[in-house]
Amino acid sequence: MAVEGLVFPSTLVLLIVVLAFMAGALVFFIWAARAGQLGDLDRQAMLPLDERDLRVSHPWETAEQAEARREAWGEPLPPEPGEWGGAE
Amino acid sequence: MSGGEARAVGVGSALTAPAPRPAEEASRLPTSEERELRLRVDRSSRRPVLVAFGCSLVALLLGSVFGLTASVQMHSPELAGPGWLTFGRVRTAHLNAMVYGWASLAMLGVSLWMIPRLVHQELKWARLAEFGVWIWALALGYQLVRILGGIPSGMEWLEIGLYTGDTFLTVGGGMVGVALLRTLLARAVPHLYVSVWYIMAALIWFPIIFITGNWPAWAGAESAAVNWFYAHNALGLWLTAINVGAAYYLIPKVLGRPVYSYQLSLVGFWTLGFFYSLNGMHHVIGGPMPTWMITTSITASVLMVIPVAAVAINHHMTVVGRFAALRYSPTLRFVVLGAMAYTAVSLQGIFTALREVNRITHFTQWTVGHAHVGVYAFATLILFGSIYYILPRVLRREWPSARLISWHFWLVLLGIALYVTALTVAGVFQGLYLMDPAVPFRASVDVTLAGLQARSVAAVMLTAGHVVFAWHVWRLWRRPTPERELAPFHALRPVVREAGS
Repeated sequence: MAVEGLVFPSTLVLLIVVLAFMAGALVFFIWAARAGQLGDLDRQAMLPLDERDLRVSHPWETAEQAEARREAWGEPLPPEPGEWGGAE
Repeated sequence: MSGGEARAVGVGSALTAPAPRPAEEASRLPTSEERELRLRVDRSSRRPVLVAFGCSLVALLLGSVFGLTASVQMHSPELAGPGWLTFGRVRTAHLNAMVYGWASLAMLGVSLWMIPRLVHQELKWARLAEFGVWIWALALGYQLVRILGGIPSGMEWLEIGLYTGDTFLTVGGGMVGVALLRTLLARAVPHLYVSVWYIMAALIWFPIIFITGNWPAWAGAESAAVNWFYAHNALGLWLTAINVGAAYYLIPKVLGRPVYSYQLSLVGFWTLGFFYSLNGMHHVIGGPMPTWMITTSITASVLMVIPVAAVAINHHMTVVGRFAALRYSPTLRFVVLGAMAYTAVSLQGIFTALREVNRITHFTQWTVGHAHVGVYAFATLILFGSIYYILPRVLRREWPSARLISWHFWLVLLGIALYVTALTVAGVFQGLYLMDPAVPFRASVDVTLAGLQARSVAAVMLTAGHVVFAWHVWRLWRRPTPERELAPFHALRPVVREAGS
């Protein structure tokens, strides 16, 4: 049908772009797997955290949470102004 | 610590425990040299980040005024004013100022600060990035003038001129992307944290959809298809990707514990990358498009429940048991609410993509409310939280006033809640009236009037919140308070670890 013929190119272009997106994601996924980016996840999870983030005392934590933090990371450090982003 | 506990990192199995220390982490913890590197990293990105945030704030204020003006004109058209202030122009200027000005420039600033931090490397080619931000901002400023002058393209989200705007945004954004890619290639850590995946992917995805959307070859129905392919992906693969990435950095950072499940965070990222790009066609349900394509898009939209659930579970379970932290951290307050809004807007989007729902909500104020849950309640709140965290570290002084932060928070929170509620309710009634052949068309307009007026009240609150925020940033920039300057955690003060800890 003529109308379908006119419409088809737009769907074709989008189909190609969408498939390119999926193919690109697949290529990067394979690269990530081969490069070890999908392994050692426990270590990766810690990447944003500095020692200070883990040791500083968090006033909102319960006594149990604070004790668990102390046991895991040592004696707590006092927080500074703006420690958690913004004037407290 | 047992081996079992050590392996629990990133899984968050013990909700009361902060961050169990795995044995292998002991060698990873920052030394004083690493802290010095962190300072150098922040210093390297200082100028481009400040330029990006500064320009984004100007766009935020302009966009707010445009939005408020357009909102008032919807229920009081007699206030239209001269040609350049008519609804069709100020509404378009509002959208472009907010999406390409405020959100995109702030996101570039967040990316320029966060990527170097996460790859433990100074920002490479910082001058190039700064120049790119200036090109983007100045080109957009010119485009806003053109839009107010009545020269938009007429395609929603694609109104800016091809050769005088799109080209410069592509080049400017590309320069930022190249600088960040160069930094990534020089990274000092082997792994890419999930935020890096999200942000760098967004910097690759966005130029592809932007160029596709602006390619000057589409006409008729093709335009509509490509238009919504672009507009929806701009939300999902640009705004969503960078802001979810920012949340994945800031929530663990503030709480001092890793995300609940790092595995789940990767599942969320990869499913977004695989499935999202076809979602936009659900905007043209009922339009002259092949049915199979729209059905495929609806299917892809429903599949979004996977990445959305992954992000929602992860963010919620990381914070659960520590919601009291929201009282202490303005950053967390904004980011956690933004993350909740992400879940809400995504589930609402999936729901709206279904034909049975869409036939009621399409062409109504519901869609406007939905868009603001996404671009404002989700993306903008996370950007506010990011800026509250980043600016003191870049300027090396603390925010001057906790009271101003509170005012900002409550104004924008109550403002957006009123906004969304008013338009959602109005949209449902509007849709039901439009579908009823016995109801005159005029009634479907009248029924939205209260909602539109409430929206204007909300717009006043949001604009006031933005003015408070901009004023606070100005005070932080111009009037450092000596007693709060250079908070010690920014300085090179080695943390002495206890023996045996």
